[in-house]
Amino acid sequence: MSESLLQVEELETHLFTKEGVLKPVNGVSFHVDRGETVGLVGESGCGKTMTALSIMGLVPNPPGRIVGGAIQLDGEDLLQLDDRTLRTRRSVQMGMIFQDASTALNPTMRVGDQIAETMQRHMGMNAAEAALHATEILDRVGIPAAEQRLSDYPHQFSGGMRQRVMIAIAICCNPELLIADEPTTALDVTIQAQLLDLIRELKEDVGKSVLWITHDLGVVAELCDRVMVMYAGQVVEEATVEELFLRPRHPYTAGLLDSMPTLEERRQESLKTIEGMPPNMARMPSGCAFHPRCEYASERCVEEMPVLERSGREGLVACWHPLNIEE
Amino acid sequence: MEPQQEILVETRELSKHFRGPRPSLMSRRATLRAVEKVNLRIRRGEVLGLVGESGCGKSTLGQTILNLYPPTSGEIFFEGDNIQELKMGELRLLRRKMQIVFQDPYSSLDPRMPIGQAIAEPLVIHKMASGSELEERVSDLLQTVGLNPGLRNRYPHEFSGGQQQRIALARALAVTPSFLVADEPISSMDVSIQGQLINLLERLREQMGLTYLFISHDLRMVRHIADRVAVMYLGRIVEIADCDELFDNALHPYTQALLSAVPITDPTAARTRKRIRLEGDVPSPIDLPAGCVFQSRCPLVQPECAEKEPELREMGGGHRAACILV
Repeated sequence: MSESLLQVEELETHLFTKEGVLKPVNGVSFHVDRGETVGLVGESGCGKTMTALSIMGLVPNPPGRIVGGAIQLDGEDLLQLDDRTLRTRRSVQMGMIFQDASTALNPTMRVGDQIAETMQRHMGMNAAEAALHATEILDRVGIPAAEQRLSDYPHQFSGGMRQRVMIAIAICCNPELLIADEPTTALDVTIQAQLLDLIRELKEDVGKSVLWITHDLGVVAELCDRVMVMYAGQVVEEATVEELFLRPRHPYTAGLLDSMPTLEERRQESLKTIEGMPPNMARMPSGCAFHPRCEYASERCVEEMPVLERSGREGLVACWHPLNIEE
Repeated sequence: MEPQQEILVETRELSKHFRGPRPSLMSRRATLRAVEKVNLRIRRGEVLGLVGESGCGKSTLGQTILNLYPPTSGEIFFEGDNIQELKMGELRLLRRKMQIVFQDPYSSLDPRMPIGQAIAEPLVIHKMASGSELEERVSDLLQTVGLNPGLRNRYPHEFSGGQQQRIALARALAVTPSFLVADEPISSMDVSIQGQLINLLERLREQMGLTYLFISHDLRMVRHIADRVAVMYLGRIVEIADCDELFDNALHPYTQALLSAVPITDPTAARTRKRIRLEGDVPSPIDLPAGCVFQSRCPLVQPECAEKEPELREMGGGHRAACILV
């Protein structure tokens, strides 16, 4: 196997608030290989966005701070870099796509200039080269009449098109890794489908690696090669997408999959659910964070926190009573 | 679903237009046709799913049916009565029977009112209970939606989104309605919470004999809960059928594309299935061209589509579609 492009090890990002120290990222480890699309799935508040912000070096401080761990991008620890170097790395090696394009783009600046600015600063292009290249990029992300639209402002684009502009900015310096945080959540399904196609094209044509952060397991099934499931600040399961959907190991993953109705067949009985709610970060339960909602919970789960371990032939799970294990 | 069942709600040629922006300083305001000539029948006891993308008019239709927006034209019948012909007092009485829950429960609850009081309020307004009976009703309602009656003196912000939606539901159900419009009631919730609320809605429907208009963009959830499904595009119903029929045998090209765009939860099937991709965005509902509203994005568009707007035609078994090609 080739060396990983992104390697996150024992990452800890804490929020220092009046209520105490919250741990939205509490010892998270994972890797993204070259050319691979990895999904990071979880419900709101599980720490998936904070994980992404940590990798991008965008943790809001205060109240947040990375207090431990390492983030290796292409063999270089991002946490050891000074701000200036990090800024360059961020633009040239990672492209970032956020959920809300209207707040991520500058509303007072023409989109062509926003794309060109990035390339001028980080790729050493002059204004003319950058403008030419910006047209190509807009065309590449599927914006019709790209040349004319360079001089439009973000508000003149529809939601789906604005999202494409953001993707254009993310890929304009030709980064190897794309980090996308719920980029299609606010969009209608037909527009979401168009964007998923675009991402698929980008990863097939250009061989980009993608870290795709979402709460939607359907999108993961469509797009990802491998998946990590997060719960309460920790990765509780990691598997290939086929394994995860076929044989979920962690009771939380199984619960998530069961609570989603499918489009293919109608289930007559009521939906299976996970009772209760995700824990409040300020009052984390002892042992396994999922134990108050878990039907398999035992005394050990209350006392001892399970670690992410290899389970069966492939995949990792953090559970004392994993499901679907066959040797 | 038996065809002879009683019709609880009916709309005839119901339209709701809004005044759009002025294209330029001197020109007339454009008209935004949010709901255009909708004929819909909702049977007593059924769940009618109403699906479509944002801006298609599904929420406006739901609110116009409840007369929260006065219709621009057309008629609405509730239990056989034309509700625009009712006097104020009669309409108020009718309001008891039709209720709505919205997507964002927090903004539909008064942040300064304890939840017990919020649930009691409609009972007081409609003079349905007072004194200890009122207290008892509120406790019952809280229990019905799965909340501890001991929490009645808490304020909305002390609850999670899912619990707030339960409170909004309890308040809507306080006056024992027969018809409930659920406008994207679970869209802002996490998956594990959505399931809990859907199961609650289904249980309540059985216990209280409710009829739902379930408005949602989540087709997976609609397939689970609905008996029949109507698909809206730019203010029009373009297809309506029994739930299984619609999902297994969609006729309108828009419905087919919509279903094909939903991510499916089987990775192997997701990678091999045939996809229909729509180009472009939903056009603005202002100043639409003549003919079929879907023509600008339709993969099967024909020259005839620009001539006349297709009618919603019966295709057999109550399956109706508005497309000249089917």
